[in-house]
Amino acid sequence: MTDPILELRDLEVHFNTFDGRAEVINGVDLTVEEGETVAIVGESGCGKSVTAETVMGMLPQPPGEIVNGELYYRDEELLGDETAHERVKTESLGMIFQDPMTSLSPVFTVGEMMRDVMTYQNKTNVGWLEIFRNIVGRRDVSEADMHDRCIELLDRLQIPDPEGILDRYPIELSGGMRQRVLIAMAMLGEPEFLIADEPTTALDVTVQDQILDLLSEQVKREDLSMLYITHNLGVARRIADRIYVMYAGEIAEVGSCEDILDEPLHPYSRGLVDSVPKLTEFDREGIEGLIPNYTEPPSGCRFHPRCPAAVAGECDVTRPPRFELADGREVACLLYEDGLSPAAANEIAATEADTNRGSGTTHGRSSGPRESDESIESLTQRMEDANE
Amino acid sequence: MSDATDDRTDDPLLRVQNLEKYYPITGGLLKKKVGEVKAVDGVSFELGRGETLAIVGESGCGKTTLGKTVARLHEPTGGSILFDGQDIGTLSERELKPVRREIQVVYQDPTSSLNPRKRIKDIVAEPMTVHDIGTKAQRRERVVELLRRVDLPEDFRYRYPSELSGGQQQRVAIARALTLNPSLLVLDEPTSALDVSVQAKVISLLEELQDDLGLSYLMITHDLSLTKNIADRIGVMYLGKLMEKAPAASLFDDPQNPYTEQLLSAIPIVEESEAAYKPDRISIQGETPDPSDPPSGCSFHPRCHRTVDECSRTEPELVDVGPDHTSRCVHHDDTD
Amino acid sequence: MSSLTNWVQSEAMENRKESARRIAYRFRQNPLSLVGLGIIGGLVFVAIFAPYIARHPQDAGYMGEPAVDFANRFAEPSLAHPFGTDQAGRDILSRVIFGTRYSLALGLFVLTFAIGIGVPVGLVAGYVGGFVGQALMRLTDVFLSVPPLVLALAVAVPLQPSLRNAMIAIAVVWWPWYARLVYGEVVSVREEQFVEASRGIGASRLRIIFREILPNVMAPITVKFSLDMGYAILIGAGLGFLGLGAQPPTPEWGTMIAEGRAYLPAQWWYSTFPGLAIFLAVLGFNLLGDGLRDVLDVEVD
Repeated sequence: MTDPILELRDLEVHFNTFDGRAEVINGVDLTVEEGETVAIVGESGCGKSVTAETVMGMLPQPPGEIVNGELYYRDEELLGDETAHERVKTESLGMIFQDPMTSLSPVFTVGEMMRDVMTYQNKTNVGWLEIFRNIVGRRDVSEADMHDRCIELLDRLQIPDPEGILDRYPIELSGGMRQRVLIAMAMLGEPEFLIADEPTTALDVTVQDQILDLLSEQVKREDLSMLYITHNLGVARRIADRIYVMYAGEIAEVGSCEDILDEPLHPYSRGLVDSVPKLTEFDREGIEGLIPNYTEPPSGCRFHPRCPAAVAGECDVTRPPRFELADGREVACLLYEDGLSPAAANEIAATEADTNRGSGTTHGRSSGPRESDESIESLTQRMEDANE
Repeated sequence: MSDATDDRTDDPLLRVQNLEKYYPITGGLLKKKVGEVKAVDGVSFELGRGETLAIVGESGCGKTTLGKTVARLHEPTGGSILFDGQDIGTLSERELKPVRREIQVVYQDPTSSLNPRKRIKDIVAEPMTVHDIGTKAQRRERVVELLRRVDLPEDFRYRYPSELSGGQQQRVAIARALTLNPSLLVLDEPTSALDVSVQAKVISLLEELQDDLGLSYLMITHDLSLTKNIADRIGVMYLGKLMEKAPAASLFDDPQNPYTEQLLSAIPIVEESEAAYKPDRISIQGETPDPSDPPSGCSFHPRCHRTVDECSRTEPELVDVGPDHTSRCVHHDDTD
Repeated sequence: MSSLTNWVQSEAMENRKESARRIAYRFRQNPLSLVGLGIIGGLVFVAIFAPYIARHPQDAGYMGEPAVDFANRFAEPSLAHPFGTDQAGRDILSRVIFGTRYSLALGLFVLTFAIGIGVPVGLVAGYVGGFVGQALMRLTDVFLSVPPLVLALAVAVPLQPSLRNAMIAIAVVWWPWYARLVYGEVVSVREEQFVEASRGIGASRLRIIFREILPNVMAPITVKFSLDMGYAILIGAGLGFLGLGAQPPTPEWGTMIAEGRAYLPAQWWYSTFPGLAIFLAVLGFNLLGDGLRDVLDVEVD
């Protein structure tokens, strides 16, 4: 196998907050192979966006601080070398964000923004003189060429009437059209690696469907690699080759979409997959408790206070490494320590969960016991009687 | 009115007939009416006691307006809302006050629906304060009981909403809705601001409450997969109109309307096994048009994969296509 | 049950302590606001205990007419009279100290009146809207269209010049600013879903305005109040300076400056020290207001 196009090793990111130092990313390893689409899935606050920001070189510092870790793009380390990161960012990376309304400027037309992207692409440290020259219209790239390129890209993203769209302001476009424009702009720089942070979350399902089609079409056509951040497991399945399940700043499980979604191994992935309402069934169990406080993260496995299968004396002590199973599948859970088969591990997990439930240990449960079961009717009735 | 009162128990709790909510579009110096947005355009449905009816649709289809009009947060511009046999569509704010005890709304975003400057105990007790029910001690007792009912620790009473997580806030909102023992809850996307693991627990709480208290739910949502699991009947809405209305099982097993098919086709499935419920992949065109200038004929025809010439000319009516199953499409007339 | 109640209450106390800690933290982030708090604290202290702090309270008219001592007129600043004496031999430091009382009272009265009128107007106009709202806000705009000092002059001139009338004149000028501020806030808070939720419960308009909306617009009112105290004191002094406010020999700062002007530059201390007092008061309220703006996290104009 060739070297991966992007590799993140042992990333640790801390944030300085009023409550203290928050250990938001705690040792994340991640690889994206050439031509591969990798999805990071997780719930809000799991650190998936912070991971993406770090890769994009857009982590706000302060309050953020990269404490540890290396980021290799085509074997070049970027976290220690800002100039290199900046260069790779402008030359090779393309980014698509969740809310096109905030990433598009409301005071420029689509055409003006696209022309600016082309004028400054592959350039770092643009001087004031050059910006001035460009404003007065003496650009290095010819207007006609730029125009043709814009039209070509808008066309490729199936935007009706591309000529007309160039003169429109973002606010005049529908949500789906704005997202298409954003993708077109990301494609302008001819990137080889796309980073997409929840690009379809704000869209309706039918429009999301169109955008996902278009995006995978571009990826295939240009042979791009992509890192796709989402909370929607179904979207991840549609777009990605492999999935990283993230919980509380750590990677819980890695594997192909089919592996992870059809047969999740990590107790967290299992809870997550089960919680999604599906056309077949819907497990209303959910996951007990809340995402932990990052300033005082749980010891051992960060999921153990919420885990139905947690083993006292082990899970709260040892931080599980990522155990490698067959076919590139990795699980960060002590259940798989001895190379157990998924079936055997599942069985152990089920027994653990039963004993935990039986002994009344409610892990991280925020609710109190429900003692009184007096019906609401009777109480209200009593209150009304008292009122009269 | 008189013939509706003879046998109350067989009546549905809620019967909405030809409900309309039009918003005028004004223009010019004199604010003259230049057009209107038909946010809800002739919607009819019934909701039985203890039943859940889900209204599904994409943004801008009018589903939220429908829910809020039924809860009389908006005044309908036409049609009737028979609640427990009484038309509440035309009542004044004063006449509505007793009705408000019976119909409560749970909103999508709990951060916005709970007053950030009030403690949980005051938020949950507010309905009793407004309707002047109970003594101070009784109200306190009721708040504790309600918090317990929604699985929150009772000491949360003293907290402010910002000190709670999203799921906990939504439980508070549910507790507030239950304070006066309503019979109908309008649930406006009650879980779409929450993570799935939290959503699952809130949904199971809602179902448990429905079983225990015999509540009826009018659930507004964009999540088709969710409705499959929790609704008894489902209405699919597009540009202010119901396109298809059916019991949950028949809607998913045998969708009749092309729009429903497209929605189903667009759901990104999570598990392999779900594929069985999905129609063959349909390529979907365009986005919801501007509701102030809807297409002629069938409002869905510009995006429809089964559109024919007739679609732009005739507006199809809702017709019966199965038991308790109606749909709106010109193709239904061919087969009849 | 009682142990539970105790525990619950201690929990609530914890939360309160926690938020107090946060406020202290925000204040610390902006040390200048602490300086402002110090200045204001000092001024309030001085105002309350003026008779005990001032060495010559009778010179400021404490318990009777201001004393005169012509033998001692225009004494330069010295240990006996740190700020010097005026044309009637009165101790300027004592008079400046008592002046604090007038200025703070003026500011408090003006703003209480302005908030008392402006906030309800803004609340009603913002929530009710429609014709009533438009009418109220257009009326407000009429007041806002004239510069405050000019309008205050226009109101003060036909009245008898006195401190009380100066207060009335400024208060009349001030309320529209609060009406506009509150109106803007209400228009945005009104769209919050908790307002609709309250309506869905059956709450009356009055209840919604005062119980749901008002608590959510208190923060900007507080900040504006603090910032405005300085300006109100400044305008009050301005009216005094023009002879439309407190009349001599009242030890009001603006009046004192006006009196001292005739003796500039030879007897510089006469006008300078009251002027510094005004400067200090305005600065203090501004710094405090800035700090509060950070603590309460609000935007005012």
